[in-house]
Amino acid sequence: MTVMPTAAATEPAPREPGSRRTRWWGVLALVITALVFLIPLYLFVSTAFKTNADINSWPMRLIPRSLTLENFVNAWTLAPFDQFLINSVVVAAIGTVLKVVLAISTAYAFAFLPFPGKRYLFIFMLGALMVPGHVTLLVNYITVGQMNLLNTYAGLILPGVASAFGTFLLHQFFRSLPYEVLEAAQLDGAGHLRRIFSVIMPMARPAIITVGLIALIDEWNGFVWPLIVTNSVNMRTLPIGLLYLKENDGINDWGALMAGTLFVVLPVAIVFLLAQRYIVAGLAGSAVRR
Amino acid sequence: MSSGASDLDARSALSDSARQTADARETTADGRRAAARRRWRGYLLFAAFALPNLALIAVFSYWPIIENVYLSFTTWDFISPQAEWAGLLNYQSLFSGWSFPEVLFRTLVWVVVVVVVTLVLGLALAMLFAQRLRGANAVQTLAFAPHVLSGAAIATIWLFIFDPNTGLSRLVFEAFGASSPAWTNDDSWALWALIIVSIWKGLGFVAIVYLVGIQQIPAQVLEAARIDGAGRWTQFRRMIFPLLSPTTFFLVITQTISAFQSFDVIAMMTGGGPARSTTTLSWFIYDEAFNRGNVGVSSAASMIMFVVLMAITVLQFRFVERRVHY
Amino acid sequence: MTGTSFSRRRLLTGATAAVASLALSGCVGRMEGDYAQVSGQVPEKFARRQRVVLWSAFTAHNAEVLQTIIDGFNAAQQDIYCEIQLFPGYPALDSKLAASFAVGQVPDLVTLSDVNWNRYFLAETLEPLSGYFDAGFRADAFHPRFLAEGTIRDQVYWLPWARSTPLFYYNKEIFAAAGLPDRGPKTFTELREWGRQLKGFKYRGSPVKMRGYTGKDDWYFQGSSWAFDGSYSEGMTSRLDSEQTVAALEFDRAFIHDDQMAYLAGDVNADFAAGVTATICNSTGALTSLLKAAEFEFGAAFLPEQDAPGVPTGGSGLAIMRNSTRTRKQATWELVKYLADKGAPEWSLNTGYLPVTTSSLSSPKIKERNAATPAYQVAQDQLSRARQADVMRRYVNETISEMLIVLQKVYASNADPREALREANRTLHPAVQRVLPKYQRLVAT
Repeated sequence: MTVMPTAAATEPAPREPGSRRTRWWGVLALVITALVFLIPLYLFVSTAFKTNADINSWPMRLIPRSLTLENFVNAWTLAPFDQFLINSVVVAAIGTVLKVVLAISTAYAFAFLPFPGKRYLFIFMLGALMVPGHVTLLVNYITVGQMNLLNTYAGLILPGVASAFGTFLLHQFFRSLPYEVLEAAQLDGAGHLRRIFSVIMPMARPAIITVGLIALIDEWNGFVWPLIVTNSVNMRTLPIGLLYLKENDGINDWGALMAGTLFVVLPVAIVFLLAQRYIVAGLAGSAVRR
Repeated sequence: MSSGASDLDARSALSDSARQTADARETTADGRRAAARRRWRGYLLFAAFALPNLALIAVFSYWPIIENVYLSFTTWDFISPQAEWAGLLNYQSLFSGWSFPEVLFRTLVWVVVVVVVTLVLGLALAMLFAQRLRGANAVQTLAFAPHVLSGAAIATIWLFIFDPNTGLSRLVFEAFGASSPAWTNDDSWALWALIIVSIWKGLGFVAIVYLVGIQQIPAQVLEAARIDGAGRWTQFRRMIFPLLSPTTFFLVITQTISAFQSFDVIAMMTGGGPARSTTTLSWFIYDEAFNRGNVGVSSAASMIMFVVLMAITVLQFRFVERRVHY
Repeated sequence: MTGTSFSRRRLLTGATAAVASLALSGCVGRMEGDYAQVSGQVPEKFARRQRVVLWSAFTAHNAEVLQTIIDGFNAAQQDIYCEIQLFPGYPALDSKLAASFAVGQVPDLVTLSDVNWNRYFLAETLEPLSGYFDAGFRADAFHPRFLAEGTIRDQVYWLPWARSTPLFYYNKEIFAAAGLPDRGPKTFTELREWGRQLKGFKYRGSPVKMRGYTGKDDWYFQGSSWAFDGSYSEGMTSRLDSEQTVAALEFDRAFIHDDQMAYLAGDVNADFAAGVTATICNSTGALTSLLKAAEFEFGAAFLPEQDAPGVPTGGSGLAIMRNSTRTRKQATWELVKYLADKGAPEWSLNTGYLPVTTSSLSSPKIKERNAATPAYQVAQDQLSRARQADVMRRYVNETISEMLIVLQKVYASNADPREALREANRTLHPAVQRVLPKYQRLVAT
């Protein structure tokens, strides 16, 4: 056997053409895996469109007799999903933008600007990675309350925009950029902002997108902080809006719950399908921790 | 970590060095003053660029720990005007009965089972995906999706599946002639229901991380092993698994930290019950403060979580420092 | 020299102590005086009015009813805008209210449940209301029995609003098909006998249980503890592990685990409406929702008795927060007036909560409704045998969460009732001791 050329480096695990048995088992395992993930998703989506009679009938109706949008109407009347959606979009959008801006500017400062004792500040920043978020909830609640920001967008967003991991990631990336380009820009008399916008950001695009997407998904799915910091139902984001729908003292209505769940999941699912490559690579590849 | 910080100053000399070539021409007092002004401008810029973020980190990451230490020595119910000094009372009361040690033990079971099962199944899936069978890409995407979806949403979907009257669980159990347990309403099943959901949600992510690791193993290495006549299993045990150890280590740490803090699935599915059977440390911390008004007890439990996770994270940084060179 | 160093050292220690105490105590604790109002949203057209924030624990149908009433209030006058902020249930509201005291922000009017308001009273955060009544709006606008439940040492703190008692609901189709009489059981023993008769009975293809228990509310057990001559406490003295209270819980345990005819339900309403269980105990306030959801005819009856009647009053009332400005409190009182006069009949009529004001007791519409749907009248009639929850359940905050754990342990996993109650009693002891001095100072007679 000859050693394969470089292309083979990406050709990963063993793949003997002879062993049919492996293939057969492999296909079966793949099908089972697909079913493990597909069946719950199918039940979820189909239930959202099933009539109540179909949902509650036994034996289970895997294929609905008729489709209805009634569940969406019900979910919408039981809980203000339009308001939840607005809240989620505002919080996720502003939160993500701020987080990315802070990460870029901080990473830039650490990479290219002088400051006495900078390395200690860097360690200080990295140290925040060791603080588990769950431990900060109680005191952050009190802090945000004293800032008079309970039940406001600012209160929802603020504690989450500080970025240690994103800064770290971008800092590593910025430092790997070629000297010459930056130096040239500097000698051209480009100011710091212009250097960031026209030199650094285009070159660091993949890293910035990764940081942004991670932030976006985190903000969108955030649960415990919005639960603590919001009071009124009208300020709730989608995930805790779903909790509200579930806790509703009416009758537990699976159709409406699944419809509500679809509201929560759909935007991220779309983003995921569109930016799948970035997200998978970003989440799986980059990584000390989030 | 320190290796990252140590050459920071060398790097930031980039802008300084460019500047110095210009400065070299001006050795006059004026020039020196200008250089000093420029340096101060640099400091100011650094402050403007980095301080907002650092200030937020100080307020929302460091201050909570300090304040939390204090709160853990007090009793307070939120409503009464002042937190009262209580010394070690909260810590003593945590360990005076069995209920908190039970919480810790349950958390341990939760973390270990979730992490181990997710990693084992994830690695198996990664090996499967690495075979590059037709359709594998679609299945990868499918399996990864739950990782990016809201935990609350996933939990709701599974609540329906676990419903003993209209859910899939009834279908499955009746197929075996049994009747479905009440899962989230039965304290001997509830924790396992949560574990299943947690594994389902995290599996795809772990599989993909492993897959990335597997794909980085040079084919030559595996070829060489095959020439030596190593069987499949031997090849996996002797070559692949050891080569994946950095990935495994990374995953163990990150999955452990996130399992410790997992909250939304519990909040959505069981609220820590029935009979506290799903009260893990993270739920306990929330419940004691925000539902039961025992701020001091909650803070003391927080400190315990902090110390445990801190130890795990230090372990991780040690490892990263040793293995990874920037 | 020594002097300076001494004073410098003193200064340093002093400064350190000051900084330390600032750091330590400066940021926690409740301020005295006027608190800020919780934030929220005011529509443009009401921007100029005095804002009053009402925290409500009602969801779904009942939330809509309340919103309609408040819309009426906002339309009826020009000076005050009432904003409702919704919470999914009393415990959720209770935890948010406690937490908002921590940061010095309070709503104005709160629907506090019968077992939650007391701890706010003990913390002296509720406005005494007797002084607000005048010739135009007298205290006797409220049902005297319920008003008394919110009165401590001749001062009113908690006004009746969404008051209720539990009712016994039974599925008439199942009862008829299984040959059971068309009435509620007289005693718990009879309920259990009926349960045995129902064994093996199938309704719409699925086996049926006799009773679904909830693990999220200990209100019903408070009632059945009385029915078995037990109680949670006498005054502040716990009776949780008394023979009678244990017997009440043992009854539930045997019904669930020996007879297998009762069970711990995830959602009693849903299970009842789906025909999974033949009977449930639930609030009168759930009546309207159940009528909407059930596709069969069901009956409502008095709760079963045993050695004594066991009917606890429940639901919630209105309390005004003391730590706010005079202006806010006056505006809030205007809202209370409206609710007691115009709001109450509409509320009782549309939700099924008991009529608690003279305006609703005399409402012809409510009388008509009760005649048409007798279940509503049953709820009103049962009131004569109802009483207020035990002192410990009302004043010691932890009691309910501990009791829920006890109930879940026994209902879900067949724990020994005596052991479970004893353990709860032990766990609760420090809490009782903590509350006792305040209780004696402010409440005990």
